[in-house]
Amino acid sequence: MITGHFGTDGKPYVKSQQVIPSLSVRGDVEFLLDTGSDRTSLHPLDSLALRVPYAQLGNPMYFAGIGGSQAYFTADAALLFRDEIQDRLYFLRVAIARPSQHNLQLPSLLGQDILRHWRTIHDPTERALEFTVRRSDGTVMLQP
Amino acid sequence: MITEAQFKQYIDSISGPDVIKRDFEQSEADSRLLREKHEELLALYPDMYVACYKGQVVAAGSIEGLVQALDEKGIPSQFAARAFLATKPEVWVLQA
Repeated sequence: MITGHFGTDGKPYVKSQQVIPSLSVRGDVEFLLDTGSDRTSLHPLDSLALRVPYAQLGNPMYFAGIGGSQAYFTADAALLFRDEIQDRLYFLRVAIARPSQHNLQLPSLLGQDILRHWRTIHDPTERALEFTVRRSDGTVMLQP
Repeated sequence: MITEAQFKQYIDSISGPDVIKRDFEQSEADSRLLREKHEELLALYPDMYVACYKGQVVAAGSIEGLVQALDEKGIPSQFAARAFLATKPEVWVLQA
């Protein structure tokens, strides 16, 4: 079972490690769960800390979302989530927001491209946020 | 999309899954610390970006400034827990 947490804002978050081999990017990202989002997206607090080389990304696309329409690049990524003694692995195309004054405070968002593969218990009253994996693209076994 | 073979090749190039485990566990601990000290940090660094790595907290007025401050301390920004400390959190709604 993957375990998330409720942030100081009361919203549900889960931690992941993100890898983009083509850009030599690897780092940890705390995602806000966004069941209404089609795609998982990185926002500047994470993309700049992960040193995403924007100059190597292609043309941006425009997605509607929080704050209106924003420019996003895309990149093939692997996301890992800690599931007890193993990491669950997902391969997907993440959206990476072009930094602008409108998105500097937005958290990165975990969308349906991941969430549809999990059974989710979201119980703020009991402070319980748990995910049972129904499908993943692979696993990475961890040494105890 | 990345293939599993490409991913494993990349993981091997960074010394294997134990490195991922180590970085993840450190980052989890630092995120927990940021949450536990939120009120205290909010009072110290209102409307600033903060990062925490191995218990050490760094703050700056911008994301770029935060990354630079982490660099100056030799802290890997990609594995530091990060947050913006909003005194007036924004309300988000999806616009049609």
